[in-house]
Formats: sequence, structure tokens, C-alpha cells
Amino acid sequence: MTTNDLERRLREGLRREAERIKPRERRTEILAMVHDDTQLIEPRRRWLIPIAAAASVALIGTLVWGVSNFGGSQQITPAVAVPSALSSANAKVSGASTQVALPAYFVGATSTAPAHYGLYREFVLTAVARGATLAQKARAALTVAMNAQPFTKYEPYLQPWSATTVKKLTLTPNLITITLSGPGARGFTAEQTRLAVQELVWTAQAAIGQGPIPVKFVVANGSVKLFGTYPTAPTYNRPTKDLQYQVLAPIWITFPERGHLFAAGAPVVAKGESCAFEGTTQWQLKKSGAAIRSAVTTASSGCPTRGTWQVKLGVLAAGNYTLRMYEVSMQNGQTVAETSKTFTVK
Amino acid sequence: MAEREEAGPAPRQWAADAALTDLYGAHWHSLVRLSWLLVRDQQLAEETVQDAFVAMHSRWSQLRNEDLALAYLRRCVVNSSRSVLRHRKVEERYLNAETNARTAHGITAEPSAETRALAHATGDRLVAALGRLSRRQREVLTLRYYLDLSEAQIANALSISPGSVKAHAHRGLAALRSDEEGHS
Repeated sequence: MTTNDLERRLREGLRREAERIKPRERRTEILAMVHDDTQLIEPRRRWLIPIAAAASVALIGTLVWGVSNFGGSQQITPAVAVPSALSSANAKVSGASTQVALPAYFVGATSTAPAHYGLYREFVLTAVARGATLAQKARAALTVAMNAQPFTKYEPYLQPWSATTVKKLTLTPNLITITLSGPGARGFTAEQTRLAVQELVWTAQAAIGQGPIPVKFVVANGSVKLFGTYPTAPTYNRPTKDLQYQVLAPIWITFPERGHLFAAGAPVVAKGESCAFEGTTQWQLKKSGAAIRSAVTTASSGCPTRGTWQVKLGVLAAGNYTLRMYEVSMQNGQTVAETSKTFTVK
Repeated sequence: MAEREEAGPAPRQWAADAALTDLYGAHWHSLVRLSWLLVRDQQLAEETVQDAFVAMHSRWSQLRNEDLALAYLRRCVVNSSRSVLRHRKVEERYLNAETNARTAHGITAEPSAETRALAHATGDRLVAALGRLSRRQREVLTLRYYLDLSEAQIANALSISPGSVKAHAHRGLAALRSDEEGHS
């Protein structure tokens, strides 16, 4: 056998061998890790790569849309909205734009009886101008966060900022100043508006990625209170880690993202965060609406410390699934927090 | 300090995002497959490459251009894949000593007899033989014939000299040829 023959066969053999696997998409997860703003996840495989120590939340950006500009008259057009009619249009991305996953927080229901709310995070692929500044990126993230409407078909998100836009965002090393077109929508409870203010604080800080820089609000129409309650004179910040349970939804499913497609034969591992009593969260797997499996998982920490959890679902038959994570009260057996994500095995 | 409208402290983070997005689109699949060829575990391969991208992003200020970043990614992937194998061997030795059981990964660094038979049956005997070479020879030949890297690029990825690359490639190919002739 000549060297050329050997080399050719080796090249072909390696190519065939490599093509035996289909790498799963992890772009959004990677972007979530590099934009980690909570640093909650324990280091994975510390022996493998030290940088993993900085890893945090696995992500889940689901709807993918394009934001045609940063202005208040933004036009959002879904590009890859996985499970819905939203997928009918393609994103408009100009040649000078690039897509990045921006963190956006939303106020959503965490339980229905009694009704409680918390912040959920989405990473939304958004078209922004190449070379945009951190301030521009933060403004784009706020624009996404303030329009929960495209998510409401799938998630229990509220729209306390409907009809409100970001007029301007300025950034110094010590202050983020957000100028809003109005003070916020009417008709929301005190808990909901408190979270709505935090929603903007968390989103701006996460998009900028330089820690808990205080946030100051200015209302363009001259209002001195947000939602008629929260004065604009002081600055706002996210709470310290031991108090973040007062703001964040108790359970997040960070992977799979909504509408994720798993290749048949691939093991499914769900990941997330929780702040639950003794770290205990129950899960239920439904296939085509019918519950097929359920069990309990334990997070790395119990509340008030937010922990991370994972559920190994193994190899699943082809079909449409819903993973429901929930916490049951030890006192009365009621469901006190829950969230779900749909995915497909095909 | 005066506020600067629409001005962030620096666009460094932004450039890193754009680079990550571009490099991911262009190289995610090939890097995962490269790692898979070295560790034979898709989950670990994906995690290895994922961590490499995160590391690349955090070092973007030192890398600054996509060529350097790609070289850095390859180096991370090869080094981390090697760490996976080293870790797995420690784990195997421990488990074998304790229970004579296979590792939790279920896939050992060396192909099983069944894998070898399958490879033989499907004409991929060379790939199976590649798995029996020394670690360094296997890495050199995989980078050369899977990614089609030059000697200089392989040297950079493995942090060895181009001369060593040439020597490992020569010895590796000689061993493969010998193995092939043994079967003919």
C-alpha cells in the first residue's frame, strides 16, 4: 500500500467515523455561560477546564427574533419561534447587524393558587448592529424584556411595560440611567410592579455584564414615580444573593429550551435552578399530554440559597414531550411553584 | 464623571460575542467531532468544546483575531480531550480494582473487541488501528487527516515542535501501514 493510499483511506475513515455523531446545538447555552450574571452553577468537571468554574446557568433561548433597530419603534419579527405560528416570518437582519443572545427577564406567574410571581430569564437571539456598545446592547435587551407579548402564548408572563419604551440609556462605571417613555402600565398589583422594576434592573445589569451597577430611572413625561409607587429619585439594584429568592421565580428550567429538538437515540438531560425547601423539586414527564414518568430531584442547595439540579431522562421514544417541574408544600400538599418546557424527540 | 450617551466603557465584550457567534457557526461541528474522535463520548466531546468556547470568550482581549482564537480553541479541545482520557483511565483503574466493572461512561479509551470487529467489518480497520497508537500519534494523525491541519498548525495545537509533529506522523503512519500489511 502506498503512502498516498494509506493517507486517503485514513482521511476517508476519519471523516466517516466523525459523521457518526450529530453534534447538538449548544450556542445558546454557551452564550448563557459567558453572560452569566448570577454565577449559580457549580463548576462542572473542575478537573477538565478551570474556566468551567465560571460556568453558570445553562440557557434556554427559544424564540428567535430580529430586532430591526434599537429605537422605541422597534420591529420584532420572529425568525425561529419553535412551536407556533410565530415561525411564519423570517427575521429582518441588515447587513451591518449580527445576532447575539441577549438576556431578558420577564415577570411571570410561579403558582396559581395562591397567585405568586417571580422573574424568569430568557436568552433571546436578537439582531443588533455590529460593534454596538454595551449601552446599546443593554437598551436592546430592555426592549426585548419590555415586550413579553410574543412569549405569552407559552409562558405565564405579564406585560407591565406594555406601551412603554426605552428612550435613552446611558452608562458610566457607576450608574446605568434608563429613560423610559412612561411610568408603566396600570392595573398591576404591588408585587407585580415591584418585580417589573426589578425586571429592568436585572436585564440591564445582565446585558452589560459588569456586575450590580446601580440603576436610575428617568421618565420622559416627567413622572416622578414608576407605576405611581416607586420614586425615580433613588437608584435601584438587584438584591443580595441571600435575598434573591424574593425576586427570581423559584424554579427555572434552563435546558432543554422551549421547543428543543433532540435527535432520536440521544439521551435527554434536563437542567435548571431552584430555590426549594431542602432543594427538593418534583418533576413529571408528559408525552403528548399524558404523564408517563415522575420523580423527585434534589438541587445543589435548598432555599434561601438557589441551587442547580439536573434530571436524566435517558433515551426517549420519538414524540412531543413536556417536562413539568414543581414544588409541593410540605404543609398542605399544594403546588407552590411550577414551570414547564416542551421539547421534541425526533 | 460625565455620562456618555450610548457609550459603554469598551466594546471588548461585544467583540467577544461577535467572534464567538462567528466561530461557533463555522467550527462547532468540526471541533465536537474532533473531540469525539479523541474521547469517543459525544456528551463529553460537546462539553469539552463548549468549555473551550467559554474559555475563548473570556480570553478574547488577548486573542483579538479569529485565527488566533481558532488556534486557541483547537488547543483547548485537544488538551481537554486528553484530560478526559486521563481522568477516565484513573477512573477505570479504580473501578477495575474495586469491582472489575466498566466505567460509568461505558466507553473505554481503547476500542472494545466488539468495536474492533465492527470497524473491521465496515472497512474502518484503519480507524480502529489508529485507536491503538500512542496518544500523541493518534492526536497528530487525527488533526492532520481529519482537520487537514498543517504541521505548524498541529504543532501549535499540541504545543510541540513541528519536528515532533513530523516524527509522530511518520511513526504513526508506519504503524498503521504495518497493521494493514498484517491483515493483507
